[in-house]
Amino acid sequence: MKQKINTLAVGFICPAGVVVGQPVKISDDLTVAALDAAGEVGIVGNVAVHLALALSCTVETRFRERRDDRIAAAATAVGPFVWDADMKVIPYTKQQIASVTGTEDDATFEVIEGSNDKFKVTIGSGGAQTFTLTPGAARTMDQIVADFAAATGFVASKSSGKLKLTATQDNVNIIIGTVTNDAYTLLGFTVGTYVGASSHDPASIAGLVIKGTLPLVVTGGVLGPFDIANNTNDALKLKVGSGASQTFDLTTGNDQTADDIANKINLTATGFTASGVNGYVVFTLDDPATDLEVEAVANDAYDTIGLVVGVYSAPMTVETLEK
Amino acid sequence: MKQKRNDMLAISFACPSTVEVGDVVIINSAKAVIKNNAAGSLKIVGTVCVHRADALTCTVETRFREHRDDRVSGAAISAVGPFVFDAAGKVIAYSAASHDPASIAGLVITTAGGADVVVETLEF
Repeated sequence: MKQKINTLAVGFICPAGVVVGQPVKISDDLTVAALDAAGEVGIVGNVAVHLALALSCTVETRFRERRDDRIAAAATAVGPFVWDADMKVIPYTKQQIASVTGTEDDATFEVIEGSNDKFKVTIGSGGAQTFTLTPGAARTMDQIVADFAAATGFVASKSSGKLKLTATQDNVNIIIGTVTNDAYTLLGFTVGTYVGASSHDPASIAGLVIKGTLPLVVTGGVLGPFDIANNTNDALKLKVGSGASQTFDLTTGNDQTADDIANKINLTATGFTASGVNGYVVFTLDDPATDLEVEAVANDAYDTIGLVVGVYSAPMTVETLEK
Repeated sequence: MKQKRNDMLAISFACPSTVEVGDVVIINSAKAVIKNNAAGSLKIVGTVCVHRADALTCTVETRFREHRDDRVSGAAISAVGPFVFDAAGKVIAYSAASHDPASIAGLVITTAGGADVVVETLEF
């Protein structure tokens, strides 16, 4: 029995081993794969149609809308997304659980009653919890961890020989509080508030990006072969994103192919690759959401290969499935 | 005023006779609901839409899109509630300590004594 209401069906590339009814996750641009970890956040839906050995399938999805006109605010891979303040797509990042680790990893610790045996912890808006360490001249870290057995809202553990306190839920702070006769110097802690890494509330997830931002591809506007003359039209000056300017001195000679030009550029290029495609010189950036600036330079080859001084902007459109 | 979509999924559950139409209910035990009794519950099934006087069953309009009885458990499910898929696509209980809340795939509404037991689910 499967009782359901209207669902959206979307075609994806998928491995031949995926079967009908199987939940699948987004794994690459317009591509799904079988789940491979518990608690997957990129589930698209259940496979509805998949012919034997076919490498594409149709997925019934929980999402209500598929769009190809959303704009990303930054490089965005496939997976869950949230809106930024400008209604642009940014990747969802999981809330992180707060933790704090001491700096001391001695084999044993001398805990002295009434001197360095107190530890005060507050979790979020909860009440302060004060722990009294068991005194002893040679207390091991395992023994000290055991002194926190009554902790609420966090757990103590040994991490590389050091004491580590970890909250038991997302989005709460760990506060190490001031207390008389504290053990902070002994164990390497500092009074303060410790928070998880900045992140998004899962409730703010607006959907899945199913085709992420792509690297910029710039194609020269002139068909080769090209005649390159020394100190006339043999120079290029390019800048990738916020990187340093890169200057290229092309090989002089007539009837050079686009591949010849590309090969010369690739000898020193950083952040992009040049290639010859159907007789044109093509520049493909390594990273998505990165611009290419063609900078003015003496004796440039821009008219020759078909570039224009200025910034070529990276495509920022993504495809989404939205709640 | 109650304005809603006309393609809601509606499912019957066992329930106390005191539940009323319009009550928000949570899954409480296998295919049984009770009135919501906690803030921020992860077990809300939906809103009661049909409940006759003194009856011990009710019909719930749910936010979920699919009701299935062909999912298989990946481990024992001792209590009904939110679930996630494990690596094999089987149903396991959601754990706040080890799963991102964003990975919740729906509610499992029957329990399982161990792995590979068919369970009923409500899925997003």
